[in-house]
Amino acid sequence: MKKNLKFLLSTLALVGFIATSNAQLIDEKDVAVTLDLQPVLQLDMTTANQLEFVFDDINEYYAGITQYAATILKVSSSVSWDLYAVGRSSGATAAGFWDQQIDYGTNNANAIDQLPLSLLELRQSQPNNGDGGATGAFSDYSAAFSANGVVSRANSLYVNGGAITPPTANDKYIAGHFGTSGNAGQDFMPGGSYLTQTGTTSDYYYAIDYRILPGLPAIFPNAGNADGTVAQDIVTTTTNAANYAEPGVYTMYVQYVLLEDQ
Amino acid sequence: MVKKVISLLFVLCCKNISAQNHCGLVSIVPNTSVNQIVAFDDATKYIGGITINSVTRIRVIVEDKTIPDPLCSWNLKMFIENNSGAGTPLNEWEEVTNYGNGAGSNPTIDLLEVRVRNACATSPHNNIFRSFNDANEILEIIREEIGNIVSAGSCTTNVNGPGSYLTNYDEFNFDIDIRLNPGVRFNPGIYNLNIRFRLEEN
Repeated sequence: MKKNLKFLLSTLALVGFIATSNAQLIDEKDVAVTLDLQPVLQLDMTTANQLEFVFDDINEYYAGITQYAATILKVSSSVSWDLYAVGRSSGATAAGFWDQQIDYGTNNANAIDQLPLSLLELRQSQPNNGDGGATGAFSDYSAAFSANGVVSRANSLYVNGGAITPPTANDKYIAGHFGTSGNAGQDFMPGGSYLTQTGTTSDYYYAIDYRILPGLPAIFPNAGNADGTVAQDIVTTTTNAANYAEPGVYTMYVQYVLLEDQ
Repeated sequence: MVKKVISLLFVLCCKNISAQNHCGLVSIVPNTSVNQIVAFDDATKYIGGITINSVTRIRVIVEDKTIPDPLCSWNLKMFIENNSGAGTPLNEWEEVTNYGNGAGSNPTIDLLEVRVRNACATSPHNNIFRSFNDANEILEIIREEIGNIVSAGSCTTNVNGPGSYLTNYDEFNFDIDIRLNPGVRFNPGIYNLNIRFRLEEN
């Protein structure tokens, strides 16, 4: 028995020796890859530096002036996004109104120099396909311009007292909408780019038409508040049916804001 | 009887530890780590992806013993590591930081594609971009084929005999290319992944 035990011990020692001495030769090399996914929100805009609406003919007061596809908006984004337009000015005349640069003639008591920024009408070429969560009467600017004499505030520009703050669920977006539900089509547009789109329309490409319709007398009947429920034409806001827009030169600007849906 | 049992055990044990050294040296030159940062910072990169050719070169030296051993051969494998031990899901990149709210999903491993190539096309996966579904998948650049030794200089598939990139560059050098095409599906942020190359004798 003792002999057997010795034999067993020697065998185990031998096995142990072989096991230690037979490690495979190995060499290794590592390549660490760091991925930096930066958020990209890219708005390519093609437009004239300044759009001029010169009303020097009585027909233009009646019919308004429309500038078709004066602005082209092209979106590329790596994240979910919203796009909206907001009317702004320096507020020199009053916050939320056009800046009067010069007035023509004498000051008539009924000639009003406070023209609401919302008198500018927009029309986008492609409906907003990310407005499922919108609650207002008009979720975007895709409606056709109304005929002369038919009052519609479906296209009046979103204004928030001259501030840049985003519209609410009641107001108009060009694409996407208020909220962060996380459901595509509800309140955002998914990441993507106009570069990879095919077909004649795209959710990443918008042609914007502009119209100003003064009417006669020039009260801008289609001007409305942010959700289009309250008229902001000159007669309504001044509560005087005799008032009209004072002749002169006025300026304002439209700011297009592309932001991550968050 | 006892001796017979012990002898049988010995034979079985020896069979299980039969990976004895057949080669004198296996080495990747150089074997220092590489850190490659890939930044997606404009729309074109997101759309087109980024390809980096020769992100590294695996140069192999396998030397036989002083008294040549006819069984000296080698294999080369590639592993993906994403620090899954720290909680990273097997199919995702390791998150370093998120930009923004991180409400979406983190990038998955399959957005990384790896290509191996050399002039003799010795790898069975030569010149093919290959992706990986999770960190368990292995790419056999040179297959582990015990007893089937393809000698250096033959310039054919799966050369695994002793040799060196110094004398047989087209067989013992491997250019590693990577391609990343994340699209616009994932959370912006910084993520890590480690690619490990292991050279070992058969």
